[in-house]
Amino acid sequence: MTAPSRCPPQAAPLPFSSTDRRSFLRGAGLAAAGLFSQHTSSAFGLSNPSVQSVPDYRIEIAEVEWELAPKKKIRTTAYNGQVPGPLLRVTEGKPVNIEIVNRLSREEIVHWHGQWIAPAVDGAMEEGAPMIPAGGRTQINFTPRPTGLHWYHTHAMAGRDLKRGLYSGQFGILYVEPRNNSGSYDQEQFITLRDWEPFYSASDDGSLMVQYASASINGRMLGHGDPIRVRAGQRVLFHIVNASATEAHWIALAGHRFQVLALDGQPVTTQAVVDTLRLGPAERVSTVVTMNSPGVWVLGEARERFRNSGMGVVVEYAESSGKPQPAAPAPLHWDYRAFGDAQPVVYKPDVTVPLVFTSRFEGHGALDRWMINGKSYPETDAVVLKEGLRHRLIFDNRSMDDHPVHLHRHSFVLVSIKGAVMSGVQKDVVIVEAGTKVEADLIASNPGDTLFHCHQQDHMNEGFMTLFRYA
Amino acid sequence: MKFLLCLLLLAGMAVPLAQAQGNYEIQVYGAETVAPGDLMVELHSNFTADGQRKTIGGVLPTNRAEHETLELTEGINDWSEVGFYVFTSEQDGHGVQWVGDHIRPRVRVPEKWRWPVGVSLSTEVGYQRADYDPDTWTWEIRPIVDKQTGRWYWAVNPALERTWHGPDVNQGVGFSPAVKVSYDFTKKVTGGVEYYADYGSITNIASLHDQQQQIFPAIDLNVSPEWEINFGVGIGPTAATDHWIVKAIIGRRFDWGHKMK
Repeated sequence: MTAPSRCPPQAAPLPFSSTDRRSFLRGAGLAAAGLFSQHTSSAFGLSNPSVQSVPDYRIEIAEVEWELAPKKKIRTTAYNGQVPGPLLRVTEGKPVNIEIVNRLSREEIVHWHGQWIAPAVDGAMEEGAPMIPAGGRTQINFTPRPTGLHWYHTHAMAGRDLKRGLYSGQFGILYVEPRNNSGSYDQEQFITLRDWEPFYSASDDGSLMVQYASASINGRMLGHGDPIRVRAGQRVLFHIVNASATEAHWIALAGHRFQVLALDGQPVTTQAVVDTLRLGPAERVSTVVTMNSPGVWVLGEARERFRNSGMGVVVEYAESSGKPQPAAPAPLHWDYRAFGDAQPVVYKPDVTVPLVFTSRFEGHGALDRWMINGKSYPETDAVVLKEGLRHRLIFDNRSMDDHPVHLHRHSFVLVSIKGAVMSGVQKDVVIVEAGTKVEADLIASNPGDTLFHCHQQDHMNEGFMTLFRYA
Repeated sequence: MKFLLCLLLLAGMAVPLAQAQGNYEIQVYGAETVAPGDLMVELHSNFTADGQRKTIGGVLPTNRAEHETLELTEGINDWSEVGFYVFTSEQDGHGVQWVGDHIRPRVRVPEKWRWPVGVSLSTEVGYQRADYDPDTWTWEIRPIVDKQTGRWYWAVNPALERTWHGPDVNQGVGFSPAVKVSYDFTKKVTGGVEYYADYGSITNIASLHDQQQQIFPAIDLNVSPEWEINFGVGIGPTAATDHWIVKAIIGRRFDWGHKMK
């Protein structure tokens, strides 16, 4: 053990290189042309509506009819008329100004997931960020940090309405480029996983749960989007976001393996190579694949039933043809420790914060009520943080469900998984498997109210949230 | 297959009597079907503590009979399954006897259609030996409607039956409803009431005396997604019904690794 570190978490640049600017512009859709323009906002926060600075981006929230596949259209709410919303590519430390226009007849809010920013612009009303009124607009400024793969999405509560909140199409990727960008890759692909057409399913064994009739990658069902075209020998960098409201997903690329570079945008200390990626809701993986197996393949869910629902995209080598081949069924295995330090180094915490997750059964035809330390939000007791101290968060999941828990405006370093010590993996979402414990260190370095919650929309709605407050 | 065994077929009656409650598989169906590729293996154990004591019309008595039924149900896709039954009976003086077999395809409205209630339709065809049911070939069609709301659950099975071979072949279509209402006391323990009846021909309902009516206070134990456990004690208040039956269902689901897929 060494002395406790008081340093705020720092993100190193990912070990890969330059941006494919054309693909960015393609993805940006309706993003404003003044993408990297200078502006005068000096502090992050809400802009004075009377001061109409030129935004770097404009996001318009509106209803849309979206074609997942020919003859498969859904009505949802989306950003800028597209699913996913435009790719926002910003630079570490360079302030960005974003205008958000709400065309809906209800209030909305946009959360900047993974960013170490102020509560006023983080996009969670529980932290004090204002909702955007129906038909209203707002303009926000913040300085992007940390670097890497993040995302933005609605943080409005859905209640029991399966058309709202994260069940809708309100999500997009926020990519924060490091100032110094080294390394190499030949092609960069942004991937969003999404489940669609949710419905409640009652069970005589468990409780009411949300299931889905269809799924997509980048807004298209398998076989209906443009294939990812590659050449033998290329190194392709995939940035993958699980934007599902409730489902964890296992991703495989038949005939290939993934070298994991970063989790939740944060570089890992061991770039382990794996056959399958697991992403809980809101988790992100940046991974490079060496294209060394010519053919036509499916990048998608490792489990057939999800692939059949549409979660996949075709990866096509030049001069290859034929029916896309999915990955063969294989055991699904994921261990965060594989990406950490070979010799874990764990610091002594200043404060220990136990967080016990339990549920209350409300009937096989009802959603469980969720509790943190015995209470459901908003009755939960706030966790008090002391600035500069190392807090050991003990996620003690005593329920029968896995929980992808997320801390706003901060990252934490994983310290142990199921009792096994680890270090070297920094995240803002971690899956705490049923009946297990995960420990993570948080250095309180970003004052202001901070929301902590399970990222499953149905669990959030049923009380699985609490606030962290600075003393 | 709810009404396999005939108790009384008395010659010369103006109104045909209802068929006996089939003490082989006593279960109110829910709309849910077995998951695609899964196999559900169930053993139905039914003991008639107080039933028909005499051989009537060549049909053996049910009193003190132990009926064991093996039910195998394979899920085809997310809206259909096929079930297969092997009926047996054991009682003093007759030993263990094979009674018959049925096959039961079933389709349902997929959950993703988001109907407000669960709906499925089962049809069952099969043979049973004349020693246990004079109607040796029968056919049943069973609509199923159910709903789970919070802790409450209800299911209705207004089943219609037709005899293809046997004395009731001219009776027409028989009406045999079954209903279940239950309440989740805990996540693992559900208690409720099941009701089974046979009203005779749908065009010529039997008198109450000749109808079969059974009420089962029952519990379901939800100990695991792989297991299904149901236990109940049935009371038959009418003359045409076995008066006391104890029933148990133990089921085990086998997914053959499909979950990994």
